[in-house]
Amino acid sequence: MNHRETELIARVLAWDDRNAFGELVRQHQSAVRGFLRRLTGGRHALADDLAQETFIEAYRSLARYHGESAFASWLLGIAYNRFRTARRRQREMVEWNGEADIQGAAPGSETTVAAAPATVDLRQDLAAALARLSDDEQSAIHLCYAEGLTHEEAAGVLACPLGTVKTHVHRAKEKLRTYLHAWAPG
Amino acid sequence: MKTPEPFPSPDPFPDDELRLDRMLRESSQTYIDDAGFTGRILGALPPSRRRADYRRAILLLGATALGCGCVALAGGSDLVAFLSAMVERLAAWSMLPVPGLSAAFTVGVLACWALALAAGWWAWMRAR
Repeated sequence: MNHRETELIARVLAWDDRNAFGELVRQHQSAVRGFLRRLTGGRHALADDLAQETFIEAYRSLARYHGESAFASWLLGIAYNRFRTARRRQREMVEWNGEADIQGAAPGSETTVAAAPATVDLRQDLAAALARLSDDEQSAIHLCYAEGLTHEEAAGVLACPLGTVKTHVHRAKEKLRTYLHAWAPG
Repeated sequence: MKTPEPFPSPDPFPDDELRLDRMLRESSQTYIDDAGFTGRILGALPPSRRRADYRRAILLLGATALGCGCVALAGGSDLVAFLSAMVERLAAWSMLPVPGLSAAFTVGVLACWALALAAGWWAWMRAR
């Protein structure tokens, strides 16, 4: 956790500084919403609702955060729990089958940071291939690649053993290689 | 003679792993604009704890002032006589002489008032 985050958290806890909490939200909203969009199969409205619940719960339980993990990892762990709770309540969230709004984002609401060398078709195929993975495999892949977490950090977010995360990543990549075989060179 | 099976070769496409890793990282680098999300979060937070502190401060200061006012009004000109009589009764139980007990009583009352005012002032400053 960087020094700035430490200071912001301290201000929220000591003085209920809403501006400080707002800055924390701004710093982490993209990661949390992106993670939840991945988990909900591209359902942006649902993902944003879960993201809102995540940040409100983070505000309520901020005193229980003691820096054992990165603040971003702690938030993603809350987000994952909110997703699992919501999924238990609404079973229809599990049915991805072609309902994912992979390109459902409003124009201009998302910005590609790095120009991907792949074509748009490859990105769509990759997104479709990712959507075919199980929830746990998608979560593991997203956390380790999109968020850049280590396997240990991802295990903390998903509340599962390290070996389980490694298995999820390994199996997910095997499946993706199969699904994307057409894009292999040669 | 049976043809021996070829020795298991390493991954024939080692670059595939790197290519897939790069694809996963690059395709995931999408920043989501805030677009008012943070504002909605702040609007949905529970009531500020500072409001509770303000109320606590006002209650504390108000109760102290009210209590002092009630004592002054109730006692009026007899307040001093009442306090003197009470001190004499207490002196009959304690080992302290009347003047000493009076001083201790006065200091104690003043200390309580000062503590109550200080607590109210601290709560008020904390709520700001």
